[in-house]
Amino acid sequence: MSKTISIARDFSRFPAGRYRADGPFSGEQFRDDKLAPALSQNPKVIVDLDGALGYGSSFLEEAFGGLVREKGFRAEDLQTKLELRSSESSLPKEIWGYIRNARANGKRA
Amino acid sequence: MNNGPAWATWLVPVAQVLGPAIGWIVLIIGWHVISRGNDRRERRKEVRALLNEIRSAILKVEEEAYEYYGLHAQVSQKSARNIKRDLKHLAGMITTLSSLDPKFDLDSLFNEYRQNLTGHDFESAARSERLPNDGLFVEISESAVKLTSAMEKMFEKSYS
Repeated sequence: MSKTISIARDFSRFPAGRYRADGPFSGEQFRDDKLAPALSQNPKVIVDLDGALGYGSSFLEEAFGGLVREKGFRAEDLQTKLELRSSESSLPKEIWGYIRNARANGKRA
Repeated sequence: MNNGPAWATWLVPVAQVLGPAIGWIVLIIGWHVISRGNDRRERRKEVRALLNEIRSAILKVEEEAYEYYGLHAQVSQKSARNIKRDLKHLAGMITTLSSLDPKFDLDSLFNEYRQNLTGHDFESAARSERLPNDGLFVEISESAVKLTSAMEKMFEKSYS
């Protein structure tokens, strides 16, 4: 069974910032409250990126790169567990770059 | 009595049969060549118009970024939203461009541009305004130039 998370529908149409301290709907909040729990509880998670006003790289890096760096997920496992959907071809490529470049318990890429 | 060369005896009936067909073949080939030329000119026009739009959008976002990073975090939320909205619009145009002509694969350069614009401390509550000579402005500008140069090179290679 797979779970689909639409960022716009299930989180916010205005995702913004890296850390919780930066304000509501940050990358850290999305990762810790939505994405990481869904990945732990489901064999496959589909993240739909459409519908939001837009994304800053700081949000994306923290939300997705942070899965490896902060939450202990392995990039190789995420390649099978996580699917990204977007009408923008560049967005999934950027996110996979963050996942590949993140080091567990390391500094941000 | 036929005193002509031997090959003429079979060439004449063959030519009588194939003659009209050859005319049609030449016509079809000609039509195909002209049609391809027209398609190419139309495609060139479409791609050029989209490239011009993309160039303007890149410049617009770059200017918005200068404004955003020159402001303190507390008063720059509106600028941040404008940057994200316009980057999304730009990403859509780049996706459209690569569907018009797959040779325009600009995703990695666009991502570099977006990372320079909205990585680092973008939307950080603790961010301070940057001085006009901050290195980030140079990085933003360089990635914008790389993106537009790559587009123009691809266009020149494909449509000149």
